Amino acid sequence: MSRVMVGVKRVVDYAVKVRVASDKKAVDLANVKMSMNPFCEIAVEEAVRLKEAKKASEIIAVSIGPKQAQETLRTALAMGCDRAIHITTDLRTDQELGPKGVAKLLAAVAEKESPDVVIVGKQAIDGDMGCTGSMLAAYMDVPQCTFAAKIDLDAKTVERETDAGTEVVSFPSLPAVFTADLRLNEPRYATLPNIMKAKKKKMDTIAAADLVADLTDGNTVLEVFEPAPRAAGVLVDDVDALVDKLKNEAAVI
Amino acid sequence: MHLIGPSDPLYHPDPSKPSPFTDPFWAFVWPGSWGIAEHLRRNPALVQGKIVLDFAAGCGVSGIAAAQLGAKHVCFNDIDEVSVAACSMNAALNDLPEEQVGLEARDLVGAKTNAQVILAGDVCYEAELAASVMGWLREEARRGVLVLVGDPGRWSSKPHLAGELGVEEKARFPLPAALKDDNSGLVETSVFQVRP
Repeated sequence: MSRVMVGVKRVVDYAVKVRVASDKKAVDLANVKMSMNPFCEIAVEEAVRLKEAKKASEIIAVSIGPKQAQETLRTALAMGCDRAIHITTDLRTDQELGPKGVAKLLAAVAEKESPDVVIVGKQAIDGDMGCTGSMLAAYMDVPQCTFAAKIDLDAKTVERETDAGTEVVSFPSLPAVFTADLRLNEPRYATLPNIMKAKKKKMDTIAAADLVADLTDGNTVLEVFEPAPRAAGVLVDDVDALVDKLKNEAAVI
Repeated sequence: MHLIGPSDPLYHPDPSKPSPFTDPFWAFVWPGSWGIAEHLRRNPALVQGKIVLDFAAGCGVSGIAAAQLGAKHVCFNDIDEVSVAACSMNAALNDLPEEQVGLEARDLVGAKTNAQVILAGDVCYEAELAASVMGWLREEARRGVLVLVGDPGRWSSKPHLAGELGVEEKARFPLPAALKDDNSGLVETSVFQVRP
């Protein structure tokens, strides 16, 4: 049976309308609702299903971030992970700590824990970088199966949804890194009995600096600004006026 | 049994409506205790006519099974007073005669009990407590007490429930759907006997 490691990220909740901070250097995180990145929820769900199918013996959830990342890890534990590792850093995980730093940190944990299967979300909805999984596979020097819509460890295949249809890709061996696409599964909600039991599960804490010396990727955010507001629409008097505007102003008919 | 289930609003936590209880563990059937109850149903002679202690009883499911199967007396014990109250209510709900039921809300770890059988479901889920609880249960087994431990194979339990420690697996059951839902990631539960 496999040992599974999942990466989970705490991000601004998908339903929150974000504000730009006054210095225009970042999104304002003060008093904003944070949740587990939706693609990470899918990664956790997949790991728990592997365990429930007796294909995994143990699931280790890993998160990188401030103290509050532990709440995200507790959610992962309530969904069915066995134990958690919190890598602490004061760097902002939406922009200061990029995919390269995250991949190096996860690879350092993987070296200690020797997982057979590593599952991460295909992207985080804050930075939208979408390359942590690939970089992690490179640092671990193992195969990568990105944007997985179905994972079959016995057949050593994944399905990937592309514009042209679904491709079935075989991977050579485990260990391997998988990144979870939207349709891989539907994550469960954490219920009271599971949340309660998750409080007692083991959570280790490691400082990021103790794992990786250089976490930078050379990129700097110069400015963050909101999209330009959409211009207000106009009311037309009748169908003739509408047709006229579509023909002459918009030039679409 | 008085339990919280999926049809209760409390089952689905809503941060805007905090629960009146912190961690109402006594409102759920735990997988290890359920497994002990199943094991007793298949082997009622283990408790028939015996003085039984349901240690860390929670909702009392394994003790109630023991009482129904003919135990002479069942003491429901937990360090949590509300849990012991829940056991009392569940015992009443199952029409257990008063003289068959004892209630004890205190920490028994380290004590010499008068029990002939100790039922201990899910006692290794707190990693820090597991070692001292198992050490005490081993002492009780050494004194001749039949000690049954129920556990669904939690990560924190594994080091304490190994065969080389004199803990012998006696039975294993697949969890029913409701218990799987209450315990994401777990699909079966085992009953162990602690050897002296």
